[in-house]
Amino acid sequence: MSTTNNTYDERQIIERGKAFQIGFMTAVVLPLITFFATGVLEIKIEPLALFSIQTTVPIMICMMVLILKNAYDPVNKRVAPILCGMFSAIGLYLIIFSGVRVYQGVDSFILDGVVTNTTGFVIVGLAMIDTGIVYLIRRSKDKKELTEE
Amino acid sequence: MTRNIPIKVARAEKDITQGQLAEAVGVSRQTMNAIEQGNYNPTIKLCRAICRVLGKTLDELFGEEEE
Repeated sequence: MSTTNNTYDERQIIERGKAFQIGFMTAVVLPLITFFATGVLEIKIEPLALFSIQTTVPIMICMMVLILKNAYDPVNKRVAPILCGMFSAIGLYLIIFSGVRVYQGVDSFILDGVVTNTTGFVIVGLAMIDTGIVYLIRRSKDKKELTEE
Repeated sequence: MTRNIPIKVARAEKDITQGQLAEAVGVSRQTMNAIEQGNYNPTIKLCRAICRVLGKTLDELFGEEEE
């Protein structure tokens, strides 16, 4: 059985399918939740916040499942550390940037009863940082498995 | 699922690690670990590749244990 540098093994292919399913389901459910929040509960959310939450959260959830199931990296390649580091850095930047703006009084999380873009950025930032945390947890579990071998 | 002890034993006989076996059959170390832990049922193609590397038969590594 030979593999090239960018292929996944049979278990990873199955797990990737499941992860994309979860990501897809999140992408379907999230607009329903936001529709319920905006349409029924009449919570006003700024369009950019709504858009960024609906697009980023499903991708991050899919990525987290892929990492948890060890299906993110191809068999002979490691890309997860770089990508997770990048996402975590962007997430941290978004949270710090938003936090500073709120602290300075330039922005707020809710303005005149409307959930602002800043809140959206913080939620997106948290989702992005979570990928890094999940990666670190997975790595420590992997190390434990290796020592138990 | 029950643990696959025969693979671990055959691996120890050949003195190869999970990583080396995984590389030889073209899967990730985590997949090989999942097979040994009984968390993943490999396809017949992968079973045969493992048998070939470890020099065992399918029955020896993946055969059902008699009670």
